[in-house]
Amino acid sequence: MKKKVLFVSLLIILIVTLIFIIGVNSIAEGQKEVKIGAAVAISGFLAREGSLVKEGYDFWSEYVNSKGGIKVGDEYYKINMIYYDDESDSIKGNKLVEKLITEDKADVIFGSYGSGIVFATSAITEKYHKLMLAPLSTSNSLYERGYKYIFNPAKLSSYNGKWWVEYFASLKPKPKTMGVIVLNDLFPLSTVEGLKKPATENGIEIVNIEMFSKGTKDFTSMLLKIKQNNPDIIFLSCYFQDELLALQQMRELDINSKLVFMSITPSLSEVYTILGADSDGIIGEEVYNPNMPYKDPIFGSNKEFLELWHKKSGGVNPEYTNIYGILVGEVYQAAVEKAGSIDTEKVRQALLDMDQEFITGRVRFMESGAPYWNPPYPLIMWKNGKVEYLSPPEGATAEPIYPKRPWSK
Amino acid sequence: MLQVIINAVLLGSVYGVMSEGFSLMWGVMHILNLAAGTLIVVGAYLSYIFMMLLPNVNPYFTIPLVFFISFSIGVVIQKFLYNKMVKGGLRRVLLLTFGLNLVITDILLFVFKANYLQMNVNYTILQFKGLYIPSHRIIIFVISWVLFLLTFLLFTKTKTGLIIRATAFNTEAAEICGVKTARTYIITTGIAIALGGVAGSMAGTIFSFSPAEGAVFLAKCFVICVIGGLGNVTGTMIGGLIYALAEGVGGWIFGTQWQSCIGFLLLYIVLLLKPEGILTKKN
Amino acid sequence: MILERRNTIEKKRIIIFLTLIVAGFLLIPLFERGYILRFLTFMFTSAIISQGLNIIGGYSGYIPFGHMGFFGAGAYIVAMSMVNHVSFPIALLFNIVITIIIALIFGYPLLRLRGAYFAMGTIAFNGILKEVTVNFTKWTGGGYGISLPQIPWNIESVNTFFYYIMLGWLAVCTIVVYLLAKNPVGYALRAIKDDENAAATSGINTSKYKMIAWITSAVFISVSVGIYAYWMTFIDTSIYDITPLIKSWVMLLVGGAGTVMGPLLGAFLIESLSELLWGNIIIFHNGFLGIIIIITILFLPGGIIDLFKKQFKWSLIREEIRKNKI
Repeated sequence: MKKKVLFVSLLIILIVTLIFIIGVNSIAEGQKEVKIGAAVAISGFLAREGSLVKEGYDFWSEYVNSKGGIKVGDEYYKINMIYYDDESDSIKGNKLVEKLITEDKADVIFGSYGSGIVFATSAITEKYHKLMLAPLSTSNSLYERGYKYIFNPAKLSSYNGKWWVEYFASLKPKPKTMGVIVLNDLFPLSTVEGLKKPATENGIEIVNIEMFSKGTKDFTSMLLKIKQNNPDIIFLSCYFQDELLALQQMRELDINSKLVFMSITPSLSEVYTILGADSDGIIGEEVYNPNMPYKDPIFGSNKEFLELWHKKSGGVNPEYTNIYGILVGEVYQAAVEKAGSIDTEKVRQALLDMDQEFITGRVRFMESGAPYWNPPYPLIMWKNGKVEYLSPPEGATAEPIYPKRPWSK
Repeated sequence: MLQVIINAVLLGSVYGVMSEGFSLMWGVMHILNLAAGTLIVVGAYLSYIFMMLLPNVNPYFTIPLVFFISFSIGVVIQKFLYNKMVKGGLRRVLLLTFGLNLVITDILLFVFKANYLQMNVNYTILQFKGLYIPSHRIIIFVISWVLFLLTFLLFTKTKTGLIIRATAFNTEAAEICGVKTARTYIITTGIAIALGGVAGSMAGTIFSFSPAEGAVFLAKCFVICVIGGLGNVTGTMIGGLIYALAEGVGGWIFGTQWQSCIGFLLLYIVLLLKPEGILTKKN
Repeated sequence: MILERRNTIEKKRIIIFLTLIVAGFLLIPLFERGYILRFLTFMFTSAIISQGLNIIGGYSGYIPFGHMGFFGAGAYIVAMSMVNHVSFPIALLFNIVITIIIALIFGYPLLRLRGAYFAMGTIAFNGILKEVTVNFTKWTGGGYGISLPQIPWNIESVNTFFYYIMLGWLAVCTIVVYLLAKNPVGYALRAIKDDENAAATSGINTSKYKMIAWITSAVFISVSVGIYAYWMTFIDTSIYDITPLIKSWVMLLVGGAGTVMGPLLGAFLIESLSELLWGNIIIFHNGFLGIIIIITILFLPGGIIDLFKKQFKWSLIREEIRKNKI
């Protein structure tokens, strides 16, 4: 018995030692580096979006490193990206961000996809006075807490609400009613919240708000309730798989409206493969318009960026998640270069002073870390199996098909 | 309201077939297969692969292929994994199946990434007195019931079916009569996974799937099997209908945000009042 | 249970050994204030959950797969109280009281079920609690989650604070389990696990003892998750996810169910392994966990604590494995 106890005790000591060794980070000799920590969703229900954000981070960091690194004062620092998988879970995310800051000694944290997780993890970065740059956490509640260290360049849900409703109201004949399908989750809910006031101000009445929980696979009841009121606009505020199901069931139940709007990832090819010609006229939210002639400090211009991206991806277009991953990197880089240092307070000040054009347009932050209201924003529409841009005007490639043709039988 | 009911019935039939596998494995071997949900999604992915490889073939014709491959997967899992632990007690079995589920989900994630895929089939919408019934939902409705019938006949009329039922009823007695339990179990699981896989293919034509969707399907299997009766072939099928109806009609009356809750409440109530299932006779 | 089979000298040795370990844990915060402390605190939380599962699953033989309902109850009760300016100790008190009530309400019907039906019933229980939490957004924050107030001290003090609290609660729970095991209650539970009908026939009030086990496990768990919620300062409905519960089950089985120290051992090993894996393998880490679970179940069905047992022999393990096969 003694031998066994000894054996197991040795095993335990071995494991503990291993943890100590791995837990303590080794410092790289040689070139200076900036450690960027990122806990992203590689698994779980946001896995797709999380992986794409990571792709964006990698594209940016690899490109910059190939050019020597980030210019900090007179030296060039290599970018060292440290990734963990938060499994689309805010509680795990918290744990990992804390680890990144205290154990891996990250200089800055790049956020995860999704407001829910960032809401939680930004509390950690705020606690430790470390900057968090989040790619797409657009719920207003994140920026109403008086936090100093969170920054997000993507337009807020309330901006979305205002911008979309104003766009709807600009169509002729003006739509009067709207039916909403929304998932009970932070981002879709705050999107819908952001619609309410602008809708009233623009004379559009929201006649239905049908809410559902994750895992629902039958939208019949919801859609029939909406059909009863026959609204001019049907607004989908849920993630892609539910949007696709809702659209299909709308077609199956012959529920037509003058306008169908997808608020999340409308440009995925499945929309056309599943709906075919019926996809014509579906309008959706986009955060990036590749046709815009923006200048960019790191890639030169939007056009040059796209060439680089196409070379690397083999012709595949970047998705909005890629774009914002890259944008976060670019914005951080620009701020560091302006500040001449990676010190949190100096970089923060540079971010607050920033007013510059990047691949998505003008980037300017408010004190809360949220971006300024800056319409017109991109909008897409499906036409003949292709994604066309309706907005901004300089980058528009098509006119809206309004009212939308009824579903084919 | 009638539309809600019809859609629920059409969908519920697929749910029923989907849960048959889970029900079988429990009834015959007392294995709660937590990997069932993911294996259903595997069926959908298999169909998708076939759709990519054979673009001119109607997806429905690939169903027998999916059946065969899923059957083989079931056989392998039972022979090399589950059979090693089947007498070890509920705790161990549950964890074993859970471990397997983790592995399969991660493999799917690795191979197919996290994208949501769906198979597109052409369909027409039949209209009847203000009700809309798309043809593809009818087709899978029919296929579901055909599968059910075949399974029912398998278990009531064929030798294999009788052997399986005998083993389920009394393993020792069956062994005395010369039945090899291990082999019977292997065949049972093969059938179970095959049914799940085909259900997955069918489901994949009406909504999109991804590696993580397995959990959603598993949750539904649980509820449906309890309602219908674990191990009860007919019961499970009816259970699928009841579940879909409860969700649909409940959602219609109370509001759709309660849809999932109603499913759980139903499960709870059934467990309290008649745990062996609404249609099973107490033995 | 291990302790009963030793003679007095061995017992003394074990007590000294344990005291050293406990002292060691008590002293760690003097040397380490950061990551290691947090890692250990998290490990303690998992250990407490495993201990809770141990009482109802390991000792009584009832396998709840929906115990996350109590995670949620613990987290949300504490969170909702503290958001309404209730102090932390009082919030925990509320938590205990309300958890007992919930456990009683759901326990009565659930404990009448056996085996897999019980497991599924608990899943329904969890599902209902989760949906209720998600839908009563005004109270619970629904999809938005709840942010708990932050303690205004510096990071290191906060870490130390939670380390000791969690360690303290773990000690309490373990002692309770130890006492229960030696007490008539423990005897009754083991009788129930072996053969409930026989136990009932021999005059044991099975319902009463099952309820005691159920409530005790519920309180262990909800308090520890309540503390955890305060530590994390944010909770949302993801607390109802089944994965942490499964991990705790694995810890219980790997460590050794039905023993006092099993859960602790298991928690330590699995958490350490998890940390090593997570940090270094970003893809497929779930798959690896799955493989480890499968290997453990297949080759060490009694848990690692078997290695400590006096009658340990590899042949016994082989026998156990053979018994499980077909």
